[in-house]
Amino acid sequence: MTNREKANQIVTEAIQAQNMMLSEDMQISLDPSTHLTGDSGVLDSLGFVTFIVNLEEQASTLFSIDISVSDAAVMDDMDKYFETIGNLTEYITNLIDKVS
Amino acid sequence: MSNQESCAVLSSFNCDPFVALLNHSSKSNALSALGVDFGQVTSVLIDQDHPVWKESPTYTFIWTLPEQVLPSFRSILEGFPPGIDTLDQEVDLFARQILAAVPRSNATFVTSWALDPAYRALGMQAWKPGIGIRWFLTRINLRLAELFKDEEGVFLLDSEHWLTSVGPGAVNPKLYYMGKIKYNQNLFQVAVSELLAAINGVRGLAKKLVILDLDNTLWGGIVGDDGWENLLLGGHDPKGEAFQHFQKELKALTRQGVILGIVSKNEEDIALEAIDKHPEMILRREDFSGWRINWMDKASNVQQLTAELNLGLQSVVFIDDNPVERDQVATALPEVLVPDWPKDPMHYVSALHNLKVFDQPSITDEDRKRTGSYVSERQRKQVQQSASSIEEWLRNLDIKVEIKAFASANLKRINQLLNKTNQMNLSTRRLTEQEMLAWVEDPSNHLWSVHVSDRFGDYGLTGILSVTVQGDIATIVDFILSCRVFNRRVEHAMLHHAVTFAMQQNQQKIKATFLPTKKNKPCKSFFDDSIMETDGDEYAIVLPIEVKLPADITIIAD
Repeated sequence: MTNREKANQIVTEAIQAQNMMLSEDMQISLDPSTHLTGDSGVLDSLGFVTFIVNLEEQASTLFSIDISVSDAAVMDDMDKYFETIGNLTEYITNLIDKVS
Repeated sequence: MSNQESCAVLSSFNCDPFVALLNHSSKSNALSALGVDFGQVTSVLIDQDHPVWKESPTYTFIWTLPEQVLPSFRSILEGFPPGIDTLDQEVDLFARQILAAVPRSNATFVTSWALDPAYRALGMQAWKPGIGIRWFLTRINLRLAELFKDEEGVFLLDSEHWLTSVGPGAVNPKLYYMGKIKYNQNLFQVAVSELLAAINGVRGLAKKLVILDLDNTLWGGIVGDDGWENLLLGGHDPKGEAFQHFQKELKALTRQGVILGIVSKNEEDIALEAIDKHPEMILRREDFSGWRINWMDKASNVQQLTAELNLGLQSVVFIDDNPVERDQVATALPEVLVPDWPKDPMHYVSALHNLKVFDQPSITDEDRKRTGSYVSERQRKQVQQSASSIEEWLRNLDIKVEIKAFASANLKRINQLLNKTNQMNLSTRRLTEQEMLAWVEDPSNHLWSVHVSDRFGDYGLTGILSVTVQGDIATIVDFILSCRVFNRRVEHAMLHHAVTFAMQQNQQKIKATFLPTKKNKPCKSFFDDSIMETDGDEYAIVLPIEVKLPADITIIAD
């Protein structure tokens, strides 16, 4: 499994967990173009907190990878990393590359 | 459930994920969560005009951390000298605030207080009375439990168990520092399932009947192919132990009022032989309220058995190792809970616990005895119906009669029986406890209590026999038997004991005087047909004689 595939699975599992807390009309699509943050984003501030923790927990549970997606620098430029599911998957792939 | 119910959620920390998860489950559980801003538990409890109460919630759920609602506990955590009295007062105040809000909903669920799983709590001093954090935590939880114990509709839920089941990951510091969310999603999901289990208990929706398959469910192997002697059950085999442990847990459920049944594709006599004879079986025939062991489809059998037990299908859990059978029952009977079942029997017990469908608001003595009495009566009826004669029925009942010399521990029950029994009562004498004690203390008087059981259950102390010896004549004074057990030859066993006792005492004669009342004709009928010679209401027999034991009864005498 490539790091990209691992990142895909981590993001997918985290979104599915997030969807368990959302009503049917608020479900997050797994489409890479789905906006997570920003004006058209589907995550509010609290949802964002639980989502990034879910990402870290999925990385640990699924692949025993210890990553932190909430570094200060990342938080300062959230849209760059979290704007869409595609951006996020790219970012997670890079994080896995660094710790591999 | 046609009407949507609601649950107010009050918490001292950010519980939004819990509220979201509870709402997400609202479709299947007809329940919506009414979240209240966190950190306002006390002010919401004491403010009966708070908007959440205007919503008339069906239930209230209160989840707090002890350090957030009890200032003294927070001080203890910070290393200050403990003030036990102040801490107790704070717990009492918190409980009073909760109790004041109890009338605003149908039921109030309060979580027990817990610490982070990772909290080490002073190591070797953790449990030191008056010092250790664990000791204080236990003290405040017990105090809260005591304050709620007589309050109907208030339930303390065991949050410590939730934390244990999720493990160390239940608390993610990042969630707290970034969002004041104390626990992770896994923990909140466990909490939702536990709250729903409790709510279903209050709704009266706890499952009442567990219908079980046999082969590879209650034991390992196929009894029809392998023979009962070769089944995998108990012993030193890990899987055998797992099957036996599963049976023990099912047996424990029966003590909480849950009834067991069997639906199995087998030959009935072969399957029942295994249940009766396998030495490692925990569940025996008497633990099952009914069964359908045949080759019919299981859904039909489940339906018939449930109807026979006068229960609704929504009360039923069906457990079977075979996914094909599970699917057939689940498809045909959607009201029946058919859980996925692990392939490995070593996970059966945890699967049973994880069902969370047996929670009840209270367990009474009647609940604990339900299975026994239910099964006893049903089985007696079956035996009576299938017996071709009274002799065969009695033989099948396997009655045991224990005749015990008077013991003061039984005085109350003996006196109650003496003063209340009317039909099978020779002299209908009535005595106080003191008068009875005085009578028994006279060395010429002898009194025995009679305890009856059969293979379906224990009737307890149900008879009294007393004899007084004067000169060379023994006189039966009390001959009393509860109507629940007469006409089962217990009365024959009692007379046998009286005659045998008189002969052991070298008496020349044993006699009895019948004192008629409006109700004790059955007693006269018995004595008229007995081995004693009749002269009106006087009965006597010259000793010694050859006394035959009543057939089909086991007598155990002191």
